[in-house]
Amino acid sequence: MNLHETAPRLLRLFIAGFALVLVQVGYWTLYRGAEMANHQRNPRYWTRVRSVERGRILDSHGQTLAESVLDTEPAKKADDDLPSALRRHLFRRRYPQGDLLSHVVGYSDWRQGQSGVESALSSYLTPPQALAMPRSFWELLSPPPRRGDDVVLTLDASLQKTAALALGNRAGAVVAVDVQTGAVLCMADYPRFDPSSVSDGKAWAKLIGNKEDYPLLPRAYAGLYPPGSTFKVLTAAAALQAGTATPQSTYQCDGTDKLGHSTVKCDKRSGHGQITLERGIAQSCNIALARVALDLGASAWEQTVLATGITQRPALFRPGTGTALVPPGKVPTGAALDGPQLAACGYGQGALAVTPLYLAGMGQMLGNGGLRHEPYLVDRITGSDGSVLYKGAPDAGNLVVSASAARATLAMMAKVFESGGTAAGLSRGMDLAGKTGSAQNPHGQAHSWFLAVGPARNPRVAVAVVVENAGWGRVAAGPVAVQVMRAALGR
Amino acid sequence: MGRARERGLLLTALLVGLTGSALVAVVHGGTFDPQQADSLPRQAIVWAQLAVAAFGCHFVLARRGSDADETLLPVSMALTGVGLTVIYSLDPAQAQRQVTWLWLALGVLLLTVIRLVDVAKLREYVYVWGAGTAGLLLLPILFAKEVNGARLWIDLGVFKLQPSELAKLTLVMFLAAYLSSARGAAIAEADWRPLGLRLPSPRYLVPLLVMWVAAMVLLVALRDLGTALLFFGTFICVIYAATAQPGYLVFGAISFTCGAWAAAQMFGHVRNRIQAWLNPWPEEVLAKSGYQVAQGLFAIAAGGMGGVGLGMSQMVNPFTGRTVFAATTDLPFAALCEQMGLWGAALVVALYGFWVYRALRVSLSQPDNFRALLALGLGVLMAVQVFVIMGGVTKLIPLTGITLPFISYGGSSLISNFLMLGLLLRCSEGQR
Ligand SMILES: [Zn+2]
Repeated sequence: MNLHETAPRLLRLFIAGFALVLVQVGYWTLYRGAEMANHQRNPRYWTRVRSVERGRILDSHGQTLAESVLDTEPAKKADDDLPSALRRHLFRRRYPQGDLLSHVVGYSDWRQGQSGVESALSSYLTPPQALAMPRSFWELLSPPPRRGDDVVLTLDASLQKTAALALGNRAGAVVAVDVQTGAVLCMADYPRFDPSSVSDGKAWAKLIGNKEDYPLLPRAYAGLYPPGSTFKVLTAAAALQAGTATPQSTYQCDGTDKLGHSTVKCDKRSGHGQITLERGIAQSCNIALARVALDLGASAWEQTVLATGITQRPALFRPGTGTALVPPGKVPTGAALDGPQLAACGYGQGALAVTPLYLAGMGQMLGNGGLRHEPYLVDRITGSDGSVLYKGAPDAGNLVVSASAARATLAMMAKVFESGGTAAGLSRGMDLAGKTGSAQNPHGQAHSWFLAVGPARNPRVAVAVVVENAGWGRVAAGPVAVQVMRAALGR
Repeated sequence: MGRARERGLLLTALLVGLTGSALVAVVHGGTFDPQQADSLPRQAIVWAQLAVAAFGCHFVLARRGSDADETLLPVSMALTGVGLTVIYSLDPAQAQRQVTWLWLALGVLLLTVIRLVDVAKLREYVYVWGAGTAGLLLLPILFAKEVNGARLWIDLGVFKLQPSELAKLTLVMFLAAYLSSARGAAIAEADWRPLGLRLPSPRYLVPLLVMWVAAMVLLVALRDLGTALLFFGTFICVIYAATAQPGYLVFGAISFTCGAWAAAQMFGHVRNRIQAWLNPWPEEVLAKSGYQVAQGLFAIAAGGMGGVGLGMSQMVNPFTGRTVFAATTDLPFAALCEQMGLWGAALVVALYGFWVYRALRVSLSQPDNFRALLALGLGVLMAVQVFVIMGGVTKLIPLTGITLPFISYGGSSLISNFLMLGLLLRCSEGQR
């Protein structure tokens, strides 16, 4: 037995193991420390959020959407053990707009967690360096005064109200986007909830238990729907861009058509007969747009559609961390995009799913000469001393289709409102471009869609509306879109 | 009177600890808990007991003119003091009880060092230790109630006994006795070279196989990955030391990993532990099996370089007053990292490292193989246990419910650790 040889080796092995442990400690404190400090399951995070005055959330006109007030309510049962030193300095969130912005602003409650802007921008609203509790005996005697930064949104609360009223008590969503910048102007949806009620255990249980309406689902930016015929404008724009079609290209529609090994049905059962692409958009002919997509080819179609960022998570809450809150859309690509799938996707059916936010972004892109800006919600962040810590701005942009193709598509979309179009007479004197949609889905009647861009000749605003299970686009979603557009253009 | 070095070191350790815990008491009285306003005198009583006990031990050793290692007792007492401070910050009532255990533990230590038994004689009971280890480990399978998915404790009414804490000691004694015997020595004869690795002949692989099977039975029956890892790890390290064949380390690590992987496929409780290690962050894992892992990491992350300050741990949720489950037994290292930061953690790790180093040094100066292997085994046991629990808390390996020696709350653990210290002190006598 020769321990003189093996014992030192074992010792080196153990020292290496101990060193690894210390490396891990360093990794979790130094490298992952900020992430851990902001984790919603970390009680330390809530200590900070509750005992530091959290910043306000404001709309673009300075209206307060969320603010912190000293919690004067008597401590609830769960708080019984609360140290008295802390109890005097607790804040709670107040939401003066009620349920109007529940999904945008979100909620912040130490029992239920956070959502929306409250979650994504929490590290600004309650900065990590803010002191939740005195870290030493001396800080206890003179707590450092501190409050979080204010977050100002691009959103307009009065437009949001108009949108919410227009939508009424129908499940669905309305999103309006500034065409030049991608700034979100309103993002209303229904069902909603009152963020103040979240702290009430019973009300919360009711909210999460509701598996029928999903009131906690932010439909405007996280609701995935088949886009229906609204997607035809993107197929058309892609074909115009590639030169495989012009607005005057003609197609034969007999109501049904065998394309490859699948049958495409047109909504007009008797068929549109000889129809141009322009009329095909105005009258929403499935067969014409399926042919346009097939003529264009899978790879060119896919390239244009992917350029709209459909498969990416929009950085809606930038500079916040909330990308996980906003899901990407779905589109078949590569081998999955075979002939029948391409034909179906060409007119907006097939394995497609998009959010209302994405569709509004598509309208923004077409209105902005094919240049797409990622939608954004945060206009600026101001420190407690009034200094601007962050200024939101449109990203560099991504040219999805050429300016001429976008202009030509918009001109075709304007025909939707003219006589013979699917939204004829809906524009009420405004110069609009638009597209109706009714998306077949397994949950009952088709979802009613509408995409509007206005004014058609000099676009400023894009509006996307979905009303769940409400049938034709012009019946339910169309009037809502036009109403919101009127308010947005009249601002 | 001799042992001046030990006295100086003990004084230093106690003074540093006392200053720290006085801070805890002030902070406790000031911010956290109005009911704990009398915390300073109570904390003082705890520390007075610690000091009296530590110096009592020291004086007994000094009076006997013992030349046992003079650094091990101060290092162990420093760790115990850190443990008391951490436990006090999480649960003052437990700290009071821990001091009571400490008295008992030091009693056991004294009984060991006053030569109640001749260490060399322990060698003769090789099968007693073997059977004892098996028996102690079987006890909880038969009698224990399940706590947190693991069956580790036997409720004796007065207190809960954790037999595996004693079994780890009997295992070390068995290994030392067996490997120093003629039969054990034969294991060292290497004559089989699969894949270019020097291994004993297949016949002598039997002990490895037996131990592997035993570890797997432990894993499945006790539902405890940590104890299985501790026992198996100690075993392969000691057998490697005795045989100088790295094949044991390599094959041991591979076979244990494979076994644990297979167990994870078959048994939900093992799978949960592994899953909580690989990714504790999904909401459904975080609420259950990943809860302890995540709360430990939150605490470590909160500590930063210098810690948030003694007594400021938010392992106790300031809003609910609830402490993270099993914080004082499974997660004291995380609480320690939070309060003392990376520097504090480095200090504690260094103290353990020093303890292990002294144990291995004692081992090298022993006159016979049994005592050498015994001292080495004690050092190995300490190292493996510290690594398994610290590695678990920092997500280096799966988190398991074994204790952090000298620091974790618990009577069985404290007594067994001081018994280890006592045996080591005894071994170290008469070296010079
Ligand atoms: Zn048609």
